[in-house]
Amino acid sequence: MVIQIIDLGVNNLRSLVESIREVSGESPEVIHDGHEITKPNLLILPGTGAFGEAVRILESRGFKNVLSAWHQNEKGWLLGVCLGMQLLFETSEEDPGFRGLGLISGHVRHLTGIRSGSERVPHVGWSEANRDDEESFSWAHIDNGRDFYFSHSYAVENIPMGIRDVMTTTFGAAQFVSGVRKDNVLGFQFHPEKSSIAGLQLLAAVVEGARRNA
Amino acid sequence: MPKFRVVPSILTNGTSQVKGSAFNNWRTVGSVVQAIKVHGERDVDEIFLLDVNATNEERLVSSRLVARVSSALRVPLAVGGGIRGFDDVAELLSAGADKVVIGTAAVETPELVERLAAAFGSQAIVCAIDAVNDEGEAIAIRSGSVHVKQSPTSVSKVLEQAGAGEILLQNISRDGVLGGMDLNLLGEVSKIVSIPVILGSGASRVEDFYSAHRSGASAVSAGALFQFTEVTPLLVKSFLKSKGVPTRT
Repeated sequence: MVIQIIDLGVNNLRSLVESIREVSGESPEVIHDGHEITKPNLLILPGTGAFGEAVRILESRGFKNVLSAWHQNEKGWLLGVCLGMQLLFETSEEDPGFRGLGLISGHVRHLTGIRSGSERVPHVGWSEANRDDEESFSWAHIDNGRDFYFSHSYAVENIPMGIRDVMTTTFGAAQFVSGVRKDNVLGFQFHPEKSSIAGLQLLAAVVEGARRNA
Repeated sequence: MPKFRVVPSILTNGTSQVKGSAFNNWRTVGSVVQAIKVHGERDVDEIFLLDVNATNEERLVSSRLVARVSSALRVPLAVGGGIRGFDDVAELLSAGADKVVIGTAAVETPELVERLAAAFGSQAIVCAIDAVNDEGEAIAIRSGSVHVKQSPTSVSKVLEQAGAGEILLQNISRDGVLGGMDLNLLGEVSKIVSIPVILGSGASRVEDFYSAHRSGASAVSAGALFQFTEVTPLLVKSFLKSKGVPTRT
């Protein structure tokens, strides 16, 4: 099984690499340029920092075109984590002049626009990611009510109907999308590599899902 | 809202773990790596690693130490000590820190916080404000050796506006003496900022965590309590649960 992780610059990739190694038994390859993508079973796009800057780096390192066409050309799974998940969408309030990968329709908003009360932003800490129905993410075998570690100021509030695998997280009386999968493209707003056992179990399920899809 | 966080704080002097009593009187108590390993194995919410001598000795907290402690950790790690600029933050994040804690440099130069937040994201930048005492009129910087006549409350607002993701609020007169926390200051700061506030300094018993939650803290960091008493993060969370405060399962 081939697992690759994209390095956009200044990230803590260490935990992600170690977590993947722990749950898959494979050593993931860290890549820096689009040319290095070699038909992986699982390609992970992590991210910290700002949307616009990340898009700029994806373009300059030759990733943007390959990733934007992922549904058409690739069988492997593409997993976006945190900012990486936001990059899967079309646009972000954070940097309006930039376009994301557009793999899933939707727009990223600042949490102060999504919240309804006095919730503190950034959203830092452990919150529950819940599936709205039993079918959603059923392949991941994660119980509802598990806490995952979040650390973000932006999120996707709404996604198009018809996407079966959706996890949401409440933010006061409002909620945002904390997990999504559209065919072989998936994303988590939280950090599974920093979410202790629940995170490792989820990563293990993703690895297994990608392996079975090959 | 996210669950209330219980955060062990490990202080280092650069070579080993130390316990401070009112920011002086450092005593070496053993390996930092070992202490963090134990907390990691007990599945804590988050860990703070702070090098208390770094600023005074004009060096950065060791990124090699960060790499060693972070490799097996599956919960977030915040690291601080002597951070002066972009390169320091980049180095620590690459070594395995998830967030950095900036005290002296943030208080002296809030514009630095703006640049760092823009580059790394607010959520990666925790600003530490160390009140000198309960009066709320001065802040200690440079490992507690210099006092600046600014109110912790107004500086917390300045740093929030500069882009800090969280405030770590401490009181050096209460630090390490297991004598209770500065709830007054917490109350003021938590009302004036809308970013998460982590209260430190003085946690002495499980009730302190509940009081801090009631006064607006999103998290409490404790050093001496977890090092020198039988109170554990798990015990604290049991107590909080019994009071109806949601904590991580």
